[in-house]
Amino acid sequence: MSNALTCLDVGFAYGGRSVLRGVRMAAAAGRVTVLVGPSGTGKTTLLWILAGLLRPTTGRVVLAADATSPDAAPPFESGRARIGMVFQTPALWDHLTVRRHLDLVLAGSNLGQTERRRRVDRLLDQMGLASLAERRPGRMSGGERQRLAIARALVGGPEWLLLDEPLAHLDGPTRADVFDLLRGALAETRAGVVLATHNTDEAVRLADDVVVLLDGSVAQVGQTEQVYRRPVSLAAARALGPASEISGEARGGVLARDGTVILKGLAPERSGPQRLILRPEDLEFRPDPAGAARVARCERVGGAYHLGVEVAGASVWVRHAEGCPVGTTGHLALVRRG
Amino acid sequence: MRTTAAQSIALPRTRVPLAGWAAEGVALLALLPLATALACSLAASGAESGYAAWWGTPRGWLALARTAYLAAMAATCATVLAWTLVAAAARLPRRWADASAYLACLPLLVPSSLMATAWTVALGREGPLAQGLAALVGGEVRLPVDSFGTAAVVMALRYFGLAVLVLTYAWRRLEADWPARQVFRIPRGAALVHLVVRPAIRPTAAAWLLVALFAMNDHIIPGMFLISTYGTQVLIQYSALLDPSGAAALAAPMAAVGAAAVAVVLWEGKRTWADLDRPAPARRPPPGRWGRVLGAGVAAGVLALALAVPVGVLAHKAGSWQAMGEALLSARRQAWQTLVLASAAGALCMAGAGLLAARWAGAWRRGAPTAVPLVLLNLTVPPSLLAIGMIRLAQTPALAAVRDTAWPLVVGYALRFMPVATLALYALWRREAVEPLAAARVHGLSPWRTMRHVLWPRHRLTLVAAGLLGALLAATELEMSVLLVPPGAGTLGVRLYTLIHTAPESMTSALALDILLLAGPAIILLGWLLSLVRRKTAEDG
Repeated sequence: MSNALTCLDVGFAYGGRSVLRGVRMAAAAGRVTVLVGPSGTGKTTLLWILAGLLRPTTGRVVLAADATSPDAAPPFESGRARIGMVFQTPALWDHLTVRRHLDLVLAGSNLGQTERRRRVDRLLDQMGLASLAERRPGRMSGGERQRLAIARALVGGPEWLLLDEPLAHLDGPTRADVFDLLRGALAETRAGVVLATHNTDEAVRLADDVVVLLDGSVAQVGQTEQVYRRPVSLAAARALGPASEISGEARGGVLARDGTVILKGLAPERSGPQRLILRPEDLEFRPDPAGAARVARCERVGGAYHLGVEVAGASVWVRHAEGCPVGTTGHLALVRRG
Repeated sequence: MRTTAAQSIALPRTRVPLAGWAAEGVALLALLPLATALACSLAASGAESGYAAWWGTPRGWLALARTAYLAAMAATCATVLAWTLVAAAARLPRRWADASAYLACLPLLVPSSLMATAWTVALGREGPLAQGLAALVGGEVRLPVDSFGTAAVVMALRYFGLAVLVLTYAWRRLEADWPARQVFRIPRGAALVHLVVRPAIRPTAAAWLLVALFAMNDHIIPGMFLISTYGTQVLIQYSALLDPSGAAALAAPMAAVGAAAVAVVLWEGKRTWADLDRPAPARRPPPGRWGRVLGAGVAAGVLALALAVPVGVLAHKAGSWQAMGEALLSARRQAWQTLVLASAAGALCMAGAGLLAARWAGAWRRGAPTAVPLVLLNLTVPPSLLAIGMIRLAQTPALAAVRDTAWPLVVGYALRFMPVATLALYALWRREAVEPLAAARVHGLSPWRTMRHVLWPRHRLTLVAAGLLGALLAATELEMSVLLVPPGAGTLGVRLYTLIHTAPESMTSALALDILLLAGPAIILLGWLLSLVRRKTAEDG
């Protein structure tokens, strides 16, 4: 059984304001756990608590070997564990060269000079920083600085890797490059990874497990697919991508509201009042001049389109292969039976 | 803990909560002389308590009224001068405007006895100003040397640099609103009221109070113009009447007035203070050539009044380089003593202020309480009160070894000026990103490595600048020096103060110029360090 970095009812208050409340979650060793949620919801604070940089106001962090009885587990001593961390800003030591950054992290270790040098050289190569080894951060681009921050977090061979919005300050191709490097590094490391992000795309692509944080509390915990497919609320669903909520009376495979059919393709056995949380790809829009649904917006998203469709007072997003003129009427149908 | 091959690397990571407690301890220790002096003020002096003797009769209130009146006049004059300079300098390129603000601060970095000497010489019956005017009107001219007005103007010229600093930042905030005024076509009158006058009221009041506070605690300049303030009375009570309790009882309420003034400055100037953290705003469109010429002319006029007139008068009276050389030679012991004392005080300032400012900034970020801001009291209270506290402490058996040595003076200097350095460092550090330090901690750097490789390289410039500022202020201090200077060699400021009463004007002027020349390199070094700090801060930002 592998260890899990576990928060037991962790709370944190700052200046009279409660930032985190009763957070219970676990990040398993060797897996990537992603904290998702909108900005200002306490993700960074939680990471700083895990890193031992902040002390929780209530609750504690333990290293639990047994998921069934974490309360009996010993407290997590961040001072003794090997932690690597990437901060929201690169947080580099501007007066030190790239090589010195990595060397300094290893300086307190019991590695010999040769081994340290070998390890630093390997990481510089892996991160594409070998040609910048003697350069200071002030003369590096944003992407290079972020790569250095990631290298610094990895160089000590961390048991736990904490990543706080590691790509937040990057954009365009640089973001994609650093994302690929990060994904490669995460695939190689055996560390337990806790990554905080508000970027739904990154979260879905990197996560093994997801913790949805909303307004300082855990809204949902689970494996990525489970949280994505079976969110507990619309807000939790939106933490991992666009989603809409639609409600009505299910009968005979359709969902109706005020006598109007608003959704087809429901499982025939479903009946009675229903509240469905749907992803754009869960729905399809079938143009029909007699349909009750009407396209109110049409936005291009990557290679497809998202249609904002209004039906009987409800508004939902639908993924559609082609663009559709605003005002087009039609029917909404579930792609997969649910 | 999971065991992996990589676990063989043991990265030490320990916290040093002791540093925080040490800072709180230093902050409280720094208040010990003040507390001692206040305790001393409660002791009976003769038949009655010092408080009853001073404040039960009109004489204490008269001393307070004279002091407050003079300080208010000086502050008003300084605020007008400062606004004139700031508004004129705003028409110049930013570099010139900065230079004029720094130049306005120069009189703060020379002993008050020097400014007083220059102006008494300038205004005296045989002084260049009086003689020049006499030649102009064709008869004898007697300028009002010994008057509240003259003393207030001279004090204003020494302290108006403080107001210039506050108002320069305030003006730059006002300039930030300028583009909005143009874009939204706000009428000129409304823009003047809402974007200029109203936002300027608080910084102006803060600047006024700041100058008033410093003027209130300076008894050297008024004394030279034969104006007796409470500071003069404290000195007489202590040195001539040998009554420390009475002296402390007179000074203690002034301490309360000073503390209240600073509290108001900090509270009311909060917005100005917070604005220091913002990036430099866009400037209003530069004025035309004649606007710049006018700005340069007015700024040069104000600075000439504050700097060129005193220096010119001293140079005229000193007569020759030879006289200056002789004056310096005769004061070489004092010069050496000043250098040693100021260096020691500067080093103490640097260490203490670094510790306190780091603690204060950390507590501010966490929203935690700290005792560190209380050290500001040492700057706001009358220097004589601190000096009396230091003397009383040195008289305790535990500190018998430091009695009659220079240590009480060095510590007194450090305690007096540590708040200035602490405040400057706190202003720089409180908004500084904490992540680099957090990164050091989380990646297992030991406290020593963090200090050596992360903290010191980042902060050495600011710490050295803070130490140098403390040393400069200590070298030019006079009010505490008069009471605390050990038997034997005095300081340059004290010697100048003594010479004014006993030596010919030429000798006094020559020594005053020597002090200026000695202070010059240190001031230039400080300016250079500050520009480096600014550039580095801008790069980091």
